[in-house]
This record gives sequence, structure tokens and C-alpha cells, in this order.
Amino acid sequence: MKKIFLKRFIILLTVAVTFTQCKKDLLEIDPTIPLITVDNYYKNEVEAVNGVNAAYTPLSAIYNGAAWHLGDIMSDDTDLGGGGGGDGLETAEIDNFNVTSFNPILGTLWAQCYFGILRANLVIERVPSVPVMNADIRKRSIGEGHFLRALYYYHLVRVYGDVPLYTNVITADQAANISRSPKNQVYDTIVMDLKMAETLLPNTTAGANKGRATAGSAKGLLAAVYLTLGNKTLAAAKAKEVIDNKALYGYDLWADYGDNFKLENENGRESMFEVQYRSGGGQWSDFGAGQKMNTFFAPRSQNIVQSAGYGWNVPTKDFADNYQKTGAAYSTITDKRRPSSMWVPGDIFDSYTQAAQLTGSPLGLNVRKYFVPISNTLGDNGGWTCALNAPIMRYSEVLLIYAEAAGIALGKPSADLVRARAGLNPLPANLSEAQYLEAIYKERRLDFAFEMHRWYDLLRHPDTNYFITVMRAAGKTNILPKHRYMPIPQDERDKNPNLSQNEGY
Amino acid sequence: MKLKLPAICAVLLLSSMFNQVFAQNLEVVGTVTKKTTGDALPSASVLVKGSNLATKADEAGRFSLSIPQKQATIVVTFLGMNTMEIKVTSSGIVNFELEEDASTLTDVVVVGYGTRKRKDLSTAVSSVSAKEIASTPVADAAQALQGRVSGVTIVQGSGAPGGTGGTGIRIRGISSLTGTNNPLIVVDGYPLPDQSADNILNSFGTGDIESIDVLKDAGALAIYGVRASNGVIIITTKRGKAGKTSLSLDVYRGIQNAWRLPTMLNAREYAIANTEARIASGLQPISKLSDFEAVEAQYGKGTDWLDEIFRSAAMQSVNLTASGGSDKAQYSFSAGYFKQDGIVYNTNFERFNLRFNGDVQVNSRIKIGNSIALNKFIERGADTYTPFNSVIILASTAPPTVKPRNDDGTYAGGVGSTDGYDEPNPIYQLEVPRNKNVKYRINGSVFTEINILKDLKFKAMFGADFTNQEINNFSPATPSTGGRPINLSGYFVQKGLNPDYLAEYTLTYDKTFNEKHKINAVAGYTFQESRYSFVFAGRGGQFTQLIPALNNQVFTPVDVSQINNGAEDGIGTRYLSYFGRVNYDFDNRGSVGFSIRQDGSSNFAPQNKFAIFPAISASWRLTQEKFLQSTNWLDDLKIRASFGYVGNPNAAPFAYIQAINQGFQYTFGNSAGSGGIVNGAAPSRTFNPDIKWEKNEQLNIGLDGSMFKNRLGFSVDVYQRRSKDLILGIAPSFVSGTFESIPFNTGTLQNRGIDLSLNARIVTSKSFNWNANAVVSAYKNEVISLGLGSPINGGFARINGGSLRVEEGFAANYFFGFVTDGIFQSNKEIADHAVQTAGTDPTNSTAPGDIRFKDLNKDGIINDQDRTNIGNSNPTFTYGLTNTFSYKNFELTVFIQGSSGNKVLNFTRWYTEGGVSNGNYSNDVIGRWTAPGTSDKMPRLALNDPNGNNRVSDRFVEDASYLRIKNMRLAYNIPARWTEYLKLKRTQLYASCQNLLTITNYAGFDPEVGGGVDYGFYPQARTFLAGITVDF
Repeated sequence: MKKIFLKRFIILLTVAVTFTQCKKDLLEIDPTIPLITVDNYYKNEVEAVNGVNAAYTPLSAIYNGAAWHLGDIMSDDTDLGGGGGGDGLETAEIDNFNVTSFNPILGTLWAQCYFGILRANLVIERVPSVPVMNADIRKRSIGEGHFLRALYYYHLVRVYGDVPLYTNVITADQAANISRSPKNQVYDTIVMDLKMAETLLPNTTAGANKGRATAGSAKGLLAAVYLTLGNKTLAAAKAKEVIDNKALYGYDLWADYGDNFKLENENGRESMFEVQYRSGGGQWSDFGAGQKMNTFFAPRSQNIVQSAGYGWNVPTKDFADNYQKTGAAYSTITDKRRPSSMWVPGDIFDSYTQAAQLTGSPLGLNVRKYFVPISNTLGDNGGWTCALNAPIMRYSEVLLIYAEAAGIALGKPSADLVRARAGLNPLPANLSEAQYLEAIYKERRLDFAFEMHRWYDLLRHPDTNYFITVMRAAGKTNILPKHRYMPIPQDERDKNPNLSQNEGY
Repeated sequence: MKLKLPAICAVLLLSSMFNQVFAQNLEVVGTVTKKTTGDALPSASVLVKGSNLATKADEAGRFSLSIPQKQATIVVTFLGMNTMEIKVTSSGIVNFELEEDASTLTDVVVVGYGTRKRKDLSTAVSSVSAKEIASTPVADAAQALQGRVSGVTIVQGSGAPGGTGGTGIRIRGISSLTGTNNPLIVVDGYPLPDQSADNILNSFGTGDIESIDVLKDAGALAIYGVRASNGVIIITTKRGKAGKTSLSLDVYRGIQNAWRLPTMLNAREYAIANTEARIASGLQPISKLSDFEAVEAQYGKGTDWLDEIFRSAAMQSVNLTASGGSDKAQYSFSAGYFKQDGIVYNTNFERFNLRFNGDVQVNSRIKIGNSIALNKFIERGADTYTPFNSVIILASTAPPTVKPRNDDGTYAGGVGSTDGYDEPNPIYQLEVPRNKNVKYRINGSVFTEINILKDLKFKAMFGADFTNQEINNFSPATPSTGGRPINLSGYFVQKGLNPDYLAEYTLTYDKTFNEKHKINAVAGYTFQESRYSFVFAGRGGQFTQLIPALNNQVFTPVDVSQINNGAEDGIGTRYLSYFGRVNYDFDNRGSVGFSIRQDGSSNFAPQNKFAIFPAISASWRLTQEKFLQSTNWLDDLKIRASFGYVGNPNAAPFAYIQAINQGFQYTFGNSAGSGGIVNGAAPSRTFNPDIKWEKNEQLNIGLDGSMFKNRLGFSVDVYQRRSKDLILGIAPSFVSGTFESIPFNTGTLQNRGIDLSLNARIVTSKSFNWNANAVVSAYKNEVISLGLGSPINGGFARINGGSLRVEEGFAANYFFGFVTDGIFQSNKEIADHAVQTAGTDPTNSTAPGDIRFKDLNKDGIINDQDRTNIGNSNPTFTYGLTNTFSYKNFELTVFIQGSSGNKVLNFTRWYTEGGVSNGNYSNDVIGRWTAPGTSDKMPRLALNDPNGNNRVSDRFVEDASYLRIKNMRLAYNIPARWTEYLKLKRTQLYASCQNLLTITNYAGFDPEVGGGVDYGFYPQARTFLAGITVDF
């Protein structure tokens, strides 16, 4: 009997051992089944294009959540406004030049730019080796990678000065130890990227691809970069290239300035590059598909936009007084650009009349550029989301870059084109170099009103103290030379021992 | 060595046989009855001590024995009764009157991969019987555990029908900050996959449960290894018994109501409050509300919205169980139907369940069997859980001057231009969107048991758990004159299948040597795989017809933003494990146990796939020692201790690989024309190549005892659990281009506590009995270290970036907010105090009547730096007390359950105490500040909350201690003789009430709030029901 038991026992043991033989390889699940990894993505055209699309995504958040605070509120063009009290403390810090390295707006810009940079790097690195892909789309995609990387570094270098610079795919360890590169190296990369982009990108886009960067976008941005660097020769040449080939790129001025900012004219003839917004999704957030400036800039609590309107980014007296007008009241401004740029007391929209004074706006002024009324169903379906795009560069900017860079002799006709559309007379021909520059600066200020350029114009002025002089005159007595560059986010410095801080912070 | 064991056994057996000497026979006859009732005890086992002579009592309890000895000791045993011995020296009648066994020592406790007698147990295990579970009429067995088991905190955070709102089960507090804190649930040996479900048990029939055993310390848990750090709940379902065929039918019906509803302002009071708030904020009064007399004349009391959405709701249950069999084969099958309407209008839950358990003795060595359950439930729910859209919040805040319906029957609701309020109409929200969640579940296993040797058993078990879920959400475009109607409608369908497979082999060795040395050992191997897959399709846009359809004939999408399709199909997790356990018991005096499990998990990095979890335990029965033998009042006293490690598999699968996130979006084309939202793909996190399990180190010391002839029993455990290597997300440098935190094993969390249970037979007599049972649990939770991590702010709040915080030195998820210091009575008080808001315009900043917040860091300004710990949701202790009274055929059970010292952040008040919108207010604002000295608690009313009175502060933290008569049940057993002619063995009529009485100072809907922050959850019902149980 015992022997039989023993035999059975051995048989069973064998069976059990056979079952358990599979052992550890059972745990080696191929992660490609449930997961898409960096190494197995970018295998076809759809995946390549999705990679490019993700590189555009940070634009939505940068322009919703940082660009106007830095470009306009920090400048002499607008102030915070809003509800007062604790409303928008982080924006108030920027407005009043008591900004610290903990400021979340600076954190947003920093983070979003690097998200875009990593994604652009991945596109530039992976898309050339996608096995099967339409050649034009491959070329376009790589071009978009270069263009977007340049745009993100351009934002970073102007705000923070020296910044970590990388053009490869970075590991977490490298990212936590990288040092800042000098500004000139960053600018070299920007210029190189834009030169690549202008050769790779198509001249125009159509249909569902409208809004993607084109060769014209790259050339225009390159002209702006050269101007920022003070290289007038190259800036003028690049701007002229765009102007001379405007038919090729499909560019021209709208006869009516206001046509630039209509939903139905998005990516229209004057648009060289704009942030694409679409209503719905990600409501109450900087990070959704929608544009939030409409709700933030509209007259506070007047219910003419979705979510009542918050009345932020309020035009200053100094700014409003720049407009040519016939009387004391702002309603007598004759500049044709005013009605689509700015609300003034007495402005009427449907049954709404702008009051002489509003919460946060003592002069009854508000930004109107991004206005989509609550009644416009295309605009919105709740929250902060609005569908209207935000311009990054318009054709009139290329005209004014050329006007400035080429000097009065060659450039004045371009400036006069922009002035003519505004209903203004040509500039006098006998202006000194300084007077001419001042005139172009003023023109830029009015034409690109609330388009987030002003602060950077102040910084790039040939007089390096210009931004301090102007801001002091505007009553911002806190301003110091250190404010040319904003502080590196402390949170990032906590994670990276090699990340130095800008002087004075 | 092993080969010698059978030989030793044979020798022992032979030697006992030679003891039988030829002699005259003793002829003994008698009956075996229950002492308290005199009822016969059929099948009682009757044997002669020291021999293998044995018999069984017949149906009437009679037995006869012919004993070939001059004298003998007859031993009678019956399950649930004390064993009785009588020495006989002559032939004749010997009757046995057995006493009920009050001690739990002989109970069999189900432990992992085996069973143990309670007296031998060296680990912390609590048990709940079928009777206790059946007495609580709920769909979710987890709810039936509330207050029954020491060390287990059950929070029923929602009263949604069928338990679909989730029931939080926490055994000895939480063990993880980022991973699951749900215990592992094992049904008939099948470890259920963690479906992140707080309501994982509501698909099973509660009537099928024979017992629930809760494993609490490492000594008991380590055999479940990496999944055991939150404890294990073992559910054993009913199986057939040989020779006893029974058919039982249980039917009950009941009616449920909200046990209490808060009072909101009536139309006139609302008009006054709203107007006051608007004027205080410099706004024009709403014209329709500015004349209070006219408001009262037009609206009377106005719409009572809470009354509109709450109702009396029915519930019913039918359960049929049949079991029986022969020595060779036994079966048990059951069928059940449960339906519960929700007390919130238009919500309900329905469940069908079938079960078949069978056992077949193939031959003397082989036994096969199965447990199979088929279940389906249908839930029609409403949003009662999100902070913004919960219909309970919507109904609390909808103005009384707004009607749910127009006179023509169409939907009404607030209109922005006339009411200043256009939040969704809750009645519309309950009637128009149609949500249906259907879940099918098959859970089953088959097993073979082979007795290889007398003491060595091999068991193979194969099982599967399939859950199939269908979610249907349809929002038809329906006209409404107010209340933000759905004009963009949509239809969304998701179907998912989660198959889970199990294969398990165990060898069990059970042997006693020399009557003193008892060895019980088990070794095994198990493999489990969880898969998941789902497909979904959604259409958004204008549905012209009221037909939910996905096809393009009915619905033509305008662009891709209206189409939402997707699918996923993957392997979730695989576990491959080896385990073993040895228990050695010495002469009933003590025992030691050692168990170990090696778990391999596919979730972890290649070099960290396997983990080992050992535990050791020991017990010593002091009452078996000489120094306590003379202590007569003490029946049993045992001291236990255990130490060991268990794990938490908390780690997203493949966290060691850099994945692509396909969720990015951007837009191309023109808003007015072609194009739309496109998808983008990019990595959003880096990875940790070394990610592994969380480790939980547990020490437990326990004392079990019974005294006064087992009239009083107790069990006390003190424990310390430390979760080490906690997985915390460490935020990356944004320069990496990624933003999702990277999981790292860092940080330590600790729980120290005490579990206490007592049971007493206070009165025992033939006609009246009173038993009481009490459990008390207390623990203290502390975050010892966050390692590389920084404090984590979480929890929803409209301002201040969260309401909960995890920080070193505090309980996890304490409430983080401001400290209030009464109310400013004058402008001088404001001027003398730290600046709360900039500015002096009272419509726009701090004014008399506003809350004074403490300037904790004394920097002269009230800002986020002034937030601190303002309490936490952990109770000081929780308790349950069951009293069972029986008198003749009546039985009354009163079950009291409660919690003490737990705090709730009552965020519903954020909505109802002013400042947020033009919505309605709670009745409490009637006592608001209106002039100096009028109130030091309820601030002035001002729209848009200029002072931030509504910021997260101790103002909203309430003591949510409560004592509840959770269940009161009166049963009457109809005397058998009345129903004999119907062939009924037992007929019981019963009536019960759930949540009869709740004593609490908490002001919200219900003091039981999952997670400690009350956003206005589905409140619990008070239920009255009546039922009948018939045994054929």
C-alpha cells in the first residue's frame, strides 16, 4: 500500500512541478500590448503627426496663462484691474514689479516652453526615420518641429535670459542637472532652427491644416528675432523677403483692421501665425482647447461674455492717450483701430453700454480685442472657453519690422501703409533717426495693442535703460535694472542644483 | 523522515486496539437534548472514550450502545454545544442535556489556504456569522460588516441604492498614500481582483454567505503577501451538508425615507437674505425679489427643492436556498432577487443572483467540487457625488422662488436675467439624462482534493472571475425654459470585460504525534492574471430625435469633436507566487506558526519582480498551566504575538517604462469652418527603473479569554503597522519636458491601535436569553516621513488649492485651512487686525460682520501661509454593540453602531451659507450677523464673498461623532406544531428598522462621510421592513 501512495505522490509532484515550470517568464509581459512607449511610437504618419500636434499644445496654455501678463500687464500698456483685494495676486506682483521666484505665471511659462521643446526635439529626432510617410508631410512635420522649438526658446530667452538649452531627447537625470546656457547660444539655436524651418515648411496651408506653421511664419519670426538681436540688416532683408513674396504666402493687410479679430476670419490673410483655440473642453482652465482671455478681459461682471467677465488687463491712461482724438473724451478717438481694440465709456454692444467707471477700471476702459459675445454660439458653451484664436504674428508686424530695420528712407512707405489703414496721415519725411524710431514704436504699440509685444519692445530698445525710464514715467517706481530678466522659478531650482538664479532675485 | 510518519501512526493505532480486553457488555440507551429548550439533537455524535466505538443519535435524539467493558466514559459532541462526558458503570438509561457552547474556542476559523480552530490561533482573525450578515438588509455585504468586527472601520459614504456609491472598508487604518487601501477580498478561495471598487461586493448575494473572516495581523496575512497590507476579508459561501435536505425561502419588503433633511429658507426669507447680500456687495437687488410681501403673496413658502427630489422608496428581496446531499455528494444552490429604489427620485438598483456550490466524493481519496456564482445588476443612478453637479447640492441651492415645472408641464428652472441663478434644474437633471450601468459577473472555481496519504492532501483549484460592464449615458435635447437645459445632447456607451484567471495548487499536511504534538503545514503555488478591455463610443451634438443611437443615419456628426470613440485591450497584472506555512501546537498549551510567501508581479521593474513576505506568530494558553489551573472563574486565557511583513502592490503597471500620453489636444482649421480638435501624443512622465512594492511591517500582541463558565469572553489586540517604501510621486524638473510625477519608493506611514471585542451571555434561562456583543476599535495614523516627497495638498476646494494635506508628523489627509476667531463687530476691530483683504470699500473687502481669521505667522497679512491643521477625519474610536434578547419564540436584536471624534469638513455649507451665488441659503443664516453683537458665528451676507469667509477654515470643520441604532430587528418563530401540516420546519416572521435613531451634532445630511469632506453626498435612508423566512 505504502508504495502505491508513494507512486501517486511522485506522479502528482511531477504534475505540480510541470505546471509550475513556466515560472518567471510568465511575468515578462510585453509592455507593448497595453502601453505605447517612446521607443515604439513614431512608426507611421499618424503617429508622427500626433507627435507634432503635441508640440503645438503648450501654445494654448502659454497665451492663456502667461503671455499677456508678461507682454502687456508688466508693460505700460495695461494694469491688472479685476476685482481688487486678493484677486490675481500673482499678476499684481508682475504689474507692480515685486515679483518673486515663486510666481506661478513665471512657472507656467517656463514649464510649458520646455514641454514644447521636448516634444519638438522628439519630432526632429524621430520623424526622419518614420518608415512609411508622405514626403511632404514628413518635411512639414520636421519643419514644424524646428519652428516651434525656436518659438519656445524665443519666449524663454527674452523672459529669463540664460536658460537650459538642449536639442536632444533628455533624460530625467540630465534634466535635473542641466546648467543654463548663455543667451547668445540660445539665440544661435533659434536662428538655426528658423533657417531650417523656412526651407522645410510649406508656403501655405489649407482646410483642416490651417493654423500650422508655414515658411512665412518662420521668415516673419526670424525677422523679429533679428530685430530683437539688433541686427537691422538681416531683419530688414528677412522682412523684405516676406513682403516681396506676400502673394506666394497669401499675405496682405485687411482693409478693415477689425477683420483681424473676427471668428470667421481666423487664419485669414493677415495672419502669419496664431494660437488656435476651440470652444469646449478644459473649462475653467488655462490648459484646455479654449481661449480664456475673452472672459478675463471683458468689462467686469457685465455679463456680455460667458461667466460674467472679470475685467483684467485694463488699458492704462498712458496707453489710451496715444490714440489720435478730437476731444478730451476717449469716444472722440479717430484711430480706426480703437473700436476693435478697446472699450471706452459710451461704447454700445446690443443693449449694453460701457460705463464711465467699472470695477477695476477707473476710466471705463477695457480690452476688446478678444471679445466674443455670450450670444455668439460659436464662441462658447460655458466656463472660460472661447473659440477665438490669439494672434502671435500678423503681416502688419513684418511691415513695421521692415520700416524700423530699413530706416526712414526705405522703410517709411511700409509704416505709412499700416497708418493709412488706421486712417492716419503718412509720417513726416523729415524725422530724425530717434524721432522716427519713436514713431515706429508708437505705431507698433497701437497696431499690436494687447497682442503681448509691448514689454519686449521696451526691452529691445537701443537705449538699454529705456524700459526703466518708460516704466518709471508710468508710475511703476519699483522697477529696477534686474527686471530685464525675470527670476528662474524656485521650484525648478529646488530640483536642479546647477540652475543659477538671475541677479537680484 | 516523512516516510516514517505512517509507520509511527500504525504503531499507535495497533497499541490502542490491544487495550480492548474481553469483558461483559454494558448496554446503555438515552437521549441527547439541548438543555435550555429540551429540543432533541439529532445526529449528535456519541462515542466511548478511548475506543473506536461510536454511534449517532437518531431524529428524536435517541441512541443505544453496547459497550464490551465494565466501565466506560461516554462522550457526546454536537456542533455548537459543549461536549459532555458521563462515566457509566452499569447498563441503563443515560440522558445527555447539552449546554450551548458559549466559548468560541471550538469555532473553526477560515485562514488563508486552510482553517484553524480558534483555540489554536496565534494570529488576529475576527469572524462574522451568516446570521449577523443576514440580519442586515443590504445589497453590499461590506455594509453588513459595519460595527461587527473590531479593527475594521466601515464608512458608508453614500446611501445610493445597492451600495453603488461605495462602502469604504479600512482594516486598521490606511496603509498607503497613493495606492489602494481596500482589503483583499477572497471568495471561496478566489482572491478577487482589486477593481478600485469600494463596492466590489455588491454584485454578490448576501444570503449566500456562510461566514466572513477578517485577517488583521501579519501572522495571518503574510500568506497573501504583496496584496495583504490592507488586510484580507475571506468570504465563505454556504455548502451542502450530508443527509440534511433543506429548502429555505426568505422574502422581505420595506420602505425607505431620508432620516433627516436640512431646512432651507422659504421664499420670503430667501428674498430678504438675497437682497441683503446683494446690497452689501454694492449690487442692485434682483427686482422680482425686492418686494418681500409680493414674493410671499406670489410664491407662498416657495418650492421646497429637497422635498422635490427626495421620496419614500421601496425595497424588496427574495432569496431561495436549497441544500442537501448524501455522504457522496452534497449541493447548495440559491437564487436571489434584490431591488432597491433610491430615496433620491429616479434612482434605483436591481440585482439577480444565482449560485451553485457542489461537492462530490469520487472515491475514498478524491473529492471534487465547485463554487459558481452568476450575478447581474442594473443601476440607474444620478450624479450625487461631484462637488458642482450633485443633484443634492443643486436642490439645496435652487431658489424657492423658482419652479421645477411650468404650468404646461415643460421644465422650468432659474433664468439668469430674472433670477440671477441658472444652475441646472435638479428635477430636469434627474429626469432627462438617462444613465444606466449594467454589470454582469461570473465568479467560479472548480477544485480537486486528493488524499495522497492519510495526513497529506493535494488540492488543485482553477477559477475565473468575469465582469462585464455596460455603461449607457443618454442626454436627449429637451426643451426647458430655465435652469440651463441640455441643448447639446449626447449619447455615450461603454462596454468592458475584465476577465481574471486563477490556478492554484496546495499540499496540506495535518498530523498529531503522541497526542501532544500537532503539525499543520501547507505549501502552494498560485498564478493569477487580470486582463481588461473596453470599447466606447460617444456622440455629442444636436440629436434631433429622442432616440439614443450611434449610427450616422440618425446622427450626423458635424466634426470630430462630436465623436468620441475608443478601445483598450490589455493585460492588467500577473501574479506568480509560492507560499508556505507551518503551525506547531503543543499539547493545547501553545503554538507557533511561520508563514512565507514569495510574490512575483508583472507590475514591477525586471530586477524587482519578486518579493518575499515572512511572518512569525506564537500563542500561549496560560490557563493550561499549573499556576492558573486553580483559578476557577477563568475558563481560558491566551496570549498571542505576531510579527511580519506584507505588501501593497501599489504601482502603475510599467511605471519603469517611459510611456506616450495620447491625451494631448490642439486645434487646426477654422472655428467657423473645417478642422477641429486633433490628438497629440508625447511623453508626459519619465520613469523609475527601480519601482517596487510598498512594504508593511506589522507587530501584533493579543489576549483572548473567557470566564465565568464562558459567560463572558473577550479579545484584545494592540498593534503597530508601518508602511515603508511608500510609493510617492516625485515631481520632475519641468526642463525634462514632462510634468507627471515619477513614482519612487520613499516615505513611511504608521498606524498604532487597539481592537477590543467582548461577548457576554447576560441572561440564560429556558425561556429568556440575553446576549450582548461589543466591539471597539481605535487607532492613530501618522505620516512618519515623506522621504524625497514634499507635503501633498489634495481634496477639492474652490479656493486655497485644496482642503486636505499629507505632511510629516500629522495624520494623513488632515484638513488644511484657516483658523477663525469670531466675527469683526466694528471697523476698529478690522483696523486693529492683520489685513484680511486689501482695500476699504465694504462692498469689495472686509467689513463688520465678516469672519476674523487668525494671523498665525504674525506677518500682518492673512494669506495662504496662515493655514494649519484644523482636524482630521480619523475617529478616536468606533464601536458596535449588539444586544440579542430572546423570549420563547420571540427574538429582538438591537444593534448600535457609532463613531467618536471623527471630524468632517462640511463643504455643503460653502454653498448654503452665502457668498457663492444667488442660490438659496441654509436655515442657519437666519442667525447671521446684522449689527454689532448680533452674532459671533454666522457672518454677514454679501454676494461674491468679498472677505473670503468661505475659505477652507475651522468654520466648516464639524464634529461628526455619531451613535446610531443601526438595526433593530424583531423576529417571531411560529411554533412548529402550527405549521406541521404544511410540512414547514421553521417559519419566522420579522420586522426590522435600519437607522432608526441617529444621535449626532453634525449638521449635514449624514455624519458618515467617506474621505472626510462632505460635498453633499447621497444620504442614508431610514428603512422599515417586514419579512418572512420559511424552511421546508
